[in-house]
Amino acid sequence: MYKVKVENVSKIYDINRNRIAKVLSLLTFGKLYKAKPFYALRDIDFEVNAGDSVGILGLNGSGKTTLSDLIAEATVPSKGKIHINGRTSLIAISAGLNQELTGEENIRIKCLMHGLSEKQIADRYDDILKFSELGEFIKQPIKNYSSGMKSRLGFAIAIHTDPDILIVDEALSVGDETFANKCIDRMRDFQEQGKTIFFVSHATGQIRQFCNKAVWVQYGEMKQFGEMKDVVKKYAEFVNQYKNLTKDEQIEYKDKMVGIQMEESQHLDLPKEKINMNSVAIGTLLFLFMMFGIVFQIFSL
Amino acid sequence: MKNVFALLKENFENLHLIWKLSLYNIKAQYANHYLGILWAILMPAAQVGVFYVIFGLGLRGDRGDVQNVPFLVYLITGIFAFGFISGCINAASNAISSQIGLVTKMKFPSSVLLSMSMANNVITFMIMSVIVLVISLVNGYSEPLHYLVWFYFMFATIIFTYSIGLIMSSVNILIRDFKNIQANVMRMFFFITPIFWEPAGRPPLMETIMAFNPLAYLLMTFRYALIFDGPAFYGDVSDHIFFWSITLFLFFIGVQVHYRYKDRLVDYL
Repeated sequence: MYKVKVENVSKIYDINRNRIAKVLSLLTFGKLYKAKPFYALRDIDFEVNAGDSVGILGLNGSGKTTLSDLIAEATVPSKGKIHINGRTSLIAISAGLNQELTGEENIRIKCLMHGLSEKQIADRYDDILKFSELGEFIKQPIKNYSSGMKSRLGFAIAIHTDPDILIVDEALSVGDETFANKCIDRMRDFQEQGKTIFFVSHATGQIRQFCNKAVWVQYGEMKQFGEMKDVVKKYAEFVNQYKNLTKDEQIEYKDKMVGIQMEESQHLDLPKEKINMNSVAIGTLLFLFMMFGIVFQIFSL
Repeated sequence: MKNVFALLKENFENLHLIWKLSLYNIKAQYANHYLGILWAILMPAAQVGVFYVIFGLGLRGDRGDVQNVPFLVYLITGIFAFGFISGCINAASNAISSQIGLVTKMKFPSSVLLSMSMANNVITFMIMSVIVLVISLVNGYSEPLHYLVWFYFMFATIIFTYSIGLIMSSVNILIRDFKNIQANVMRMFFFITPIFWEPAGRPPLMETIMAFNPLAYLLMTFRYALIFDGPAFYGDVSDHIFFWSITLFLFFIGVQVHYRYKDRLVDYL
């Protein structure tokens, strides 16, 4: 039985920044508008079982965060489907906290939104505070926090909300070593409980430490999925090769790959927006009713 | 139509959460105050006090009665109800953009965000309504049975403001400029809605504008329910049909707009 199944998933962004065109598209329900599609992910396809810990590898801008957002169901794929059995919790550097509120308020609101009862929150509050090591700072607004503090708080909240699937998006790279180790210990507990973990990183170190599976995304495409050792080996080889290039060559390579990604995107057909005739009919009816209401009001003045 | 049911289901399933989060928000709002949550009652009471000093003690001269109530009571009901309506519209319109930090990294139905932001206003307005109710009871303004129309007022206002919120919360993110336009439209409505002026004895143009102003309908419904003697409901059949035909249409459009863009709003930020 799979825990997470990613089926031919693509995430397509429209990078047409022409404002007038956008407004026009809103008014005409997508007609009269030429989108400029760009796929951040294309045809990603894999399946993960309970108890697996999956590393998501890739260079900067390859689509790792897009993929983790999709798995966390924070965004929706443009094409394809993601099936998830269980509740997800995503930990990212920009932890999804309200900047204006204090750490304490964020803990309570986040936990409520994750479906915890107030009693459960009261029980866990001290644990969360202790784990986050924020101490007195918990009464400060999040906007005054350092990035390490934010990620600590985000991590502390996320692991206390009983997720079945934990997604860690580079959140450990900003904290210090001791905190990272504490988190890794906690994640090992999760592993033992048979929970599924996704671990996003551009470096192989931590993935080697505790993942058994890995996905390598490269410029929006899935290069490889399988046993961690195989994928990491291939990825490390690639990174070494890449590192041996001169600065100019590296930039040239990146530009070339993005160019290909752009080029490929042009041939992509965006999923057509279907106009639901049912809705149009009801909308028209209601519109006519409104017109009647206005006319009636005019005559009864 | 499927979307309409989905929206109702989302909100119904999260009713408890909406209630809890809005209570928490009110508590948090006054967290650092010595008087704490008491301010939720003191604020509207203080507002009444200020208006009493200025209009009740005759600082602005005697304004006479409006129908059966002193101008002061007329003004307070107008200010409270309009504050509630515009508060709901504003909160719902900004619900998604202001909470975006919380929801970008988790799965959360955004239609619930709208309800959550409005629930705050609903709770504070309930307190205001109680104050008005007490004033009305003490002076014997309206009839007890008419007070029940208050529930109709709440229902109508929530649907109407929610519909506008559904549309504007998406539009304000897609096209930022609308935020400024909306602020000014609301300002205009403050003046063309009978808050501090009475409809009787106005030029006919004002009467026409009032007939086509859904906010005026809501405001007067509130007054007829709580303070005016006379019929329980404001307006005649055409007023009711006008209001509900507009509201239903806005609601339907709002649901369509919301479901079309809710998954993509994050991409626009």
